[in-house]
Amino acid sequence: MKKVLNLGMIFTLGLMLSSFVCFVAPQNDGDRLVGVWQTGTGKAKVKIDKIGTKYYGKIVWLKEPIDPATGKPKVDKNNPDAAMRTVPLKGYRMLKDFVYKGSDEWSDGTIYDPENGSTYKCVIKMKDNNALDIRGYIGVQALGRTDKWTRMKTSK
Amino acid sequence: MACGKTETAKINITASFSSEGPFTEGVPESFQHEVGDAFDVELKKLGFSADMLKSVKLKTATAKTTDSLGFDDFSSCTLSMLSGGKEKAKTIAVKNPLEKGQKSVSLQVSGDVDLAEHLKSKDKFLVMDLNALKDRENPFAAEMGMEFEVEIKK
Repeated sequence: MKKVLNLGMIFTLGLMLSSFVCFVAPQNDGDRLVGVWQTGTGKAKVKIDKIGTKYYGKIVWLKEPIDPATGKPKVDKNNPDAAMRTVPLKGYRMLKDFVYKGSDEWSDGTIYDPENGSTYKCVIKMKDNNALDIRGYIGVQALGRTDKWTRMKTSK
Repeated sequence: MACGKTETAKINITASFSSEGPFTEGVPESFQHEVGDAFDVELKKLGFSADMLKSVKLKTATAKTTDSLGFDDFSSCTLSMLSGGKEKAKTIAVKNPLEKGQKSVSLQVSGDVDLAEHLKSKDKFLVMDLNALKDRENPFAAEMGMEFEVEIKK
């Protein structure tokens, strides 16, 4: 009887452990998004980090970092909030609050276009380990535009 | 029983930020601070709880460092709040450019942003972004003192 109980306990522990592994695995899988990515136009590089349980991307490099109109580093001059129009574009968190949903897809987030000050709903799909489809949209995904990003080899 | 009345109060908290470095010229660095229950503790001292929050607005934000060079190695400072809830991350204060020779810097705060939903969340973070003006090997630390105006549902 004692042996049966022990085997039962081992089976239960094994089941709990496998459930735990199944629960944890997708979260670690989501971390594949972390890294530095170049946008489709090649005008910017975006570093994606995980803060808490969600993923965020900030601009770390700009092909044209200086605003020709001012001769100074570019700022978020189109921000709807006038008080925040001096926020530098370099360091700007343009991807916000993405959650990994499994199947190589991160959603529930937004993407900000500093060229017009607009924020769009966004879904990120990993095509392979070095390629992302970034789809920004209004309302439904069908009404949107997809940009293709490429992973950079450097850490920053 | 809800009677629809509201009350306002001021809450002050301080967040500590530090990074071992190194910092690279032209590269923005993020410093994270987990707010934990610091805000809730201050609310409780006033007899309130987070679920009573109607709105929370940042009124002042002052960054201080004891570093011998002050903020001279950095060109700008931006403060954001984010959380594990449904609310999206918000940029709430900025100082750009940072002036030379300063160890205490007052940031310009966003007047519009309501932080109530972030502060109701269990996991909430403040992120300070500093843009490095030049290469720096040494670690850097700063404290951000913030005053919030809270509106309470009674």
